Amino acid sequence: MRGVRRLFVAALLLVGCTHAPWNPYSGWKVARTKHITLYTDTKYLYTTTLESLEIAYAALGASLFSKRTIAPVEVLFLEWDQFLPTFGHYRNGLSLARLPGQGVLGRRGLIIVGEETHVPLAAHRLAHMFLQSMAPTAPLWLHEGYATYVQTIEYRAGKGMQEACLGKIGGGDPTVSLEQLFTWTWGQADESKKYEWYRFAARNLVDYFLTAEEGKLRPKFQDLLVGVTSGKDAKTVLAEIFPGTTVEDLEKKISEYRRESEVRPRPICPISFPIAADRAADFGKPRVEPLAKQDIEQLMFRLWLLPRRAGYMDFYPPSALTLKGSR
Amino acid sequence: MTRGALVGLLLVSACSTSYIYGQTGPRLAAKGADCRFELLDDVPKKDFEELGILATKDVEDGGEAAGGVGPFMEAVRDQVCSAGGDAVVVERDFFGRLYRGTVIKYR
Repeated sequence: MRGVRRLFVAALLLVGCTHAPWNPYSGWKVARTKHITLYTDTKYLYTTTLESLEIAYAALGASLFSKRTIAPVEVLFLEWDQFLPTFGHYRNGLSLARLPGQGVLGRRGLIIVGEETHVPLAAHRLAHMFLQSMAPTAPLWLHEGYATYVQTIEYRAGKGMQEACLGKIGGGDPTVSLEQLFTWTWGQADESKKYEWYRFAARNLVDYFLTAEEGKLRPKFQDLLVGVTSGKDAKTVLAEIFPGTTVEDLEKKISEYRRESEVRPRPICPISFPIAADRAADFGKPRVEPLAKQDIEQLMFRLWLLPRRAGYMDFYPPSALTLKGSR
Repeated sequence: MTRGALVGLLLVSACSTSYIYGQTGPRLAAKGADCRFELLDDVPKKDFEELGILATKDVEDGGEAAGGVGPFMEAVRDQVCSAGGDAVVVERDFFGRLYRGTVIKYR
């Protein structure tokens, strides 16, 4: 009887602390496709997400940044019971331009996704990585504007051709002002608890440039990108692009355009980008290999060091890893 | 102490506060085990360098970070002193819980 009680006490001690004696890093593997390198400890659960990421990669690679390709993107796939303790419940994924510390995995940044990541979310995650690779100095609002805009991207394939479609109107949300959009720091955007509004304001701005006035403003989007990634203040760049128009005027125009768009149907594929056969999504069977336990342990340790893990931010520029840049 | 109390204490200590420490800056000489250090909510104005990060593993579980300033300082004292830190700039979650800190050294 005493033996049974001792055993019971030992069992209580073992299960008393939920994070103590479990072995979370056995059975991890890496699944590789042409464009994605995905780390997972699931057997099959990751496959739909991997396919979504491939589709999103091919569509993004053919659209606004078609002139350059980026290296295969590293992705950490977590089930929700792993994701929530690590990154809280205010977001469903993260794109990290850089990780704290040093390690074998995530040298070119890392995407972290949860279960059921479909094409819109995969596109959002990957858009940050594309933009970071092409324009490392892009401001946060441009990142969120572009990443949220491409959530409606579509990949169409058939009869030996593929195309990416951009420019769908997408769902609506309230917005922050352009003044807030252009001045909030990374930390302020997080603390505002209005990150969805922030994204939507930025998305509307991108949509205005790409589809308003029947696409006539589209060439000016390039000017906007060049201006703000060269370090110029967004308001200065907009004043150069639209001489005589104040930010308040532009805000009004963007808002009116959005309202009109909601009642005026757009074409099935508002902006079409052909996808070359060699840049199509890879739907082949992924190559799966075991992942060294110490590598994934090291990766998780580095992720625990990230700032604002309980917050809303889903994109971490390199500056967010410093004390001043995270505020 | 009764046997029940002992078991309870063991269960509590099995889950006691723990913060991991990751070095992200230079490695400095350790200070004494009972060194003094500041706890700051804001980034200090005077010049400093970042030495490392203290963090809880689980941001959902308030148990680890819910103790407030006193328990936090005691929980991280060894790590801060070993790192040679002068202060910890803390990060709170939306409930005010201390779940992360940056160990800094004034220049």
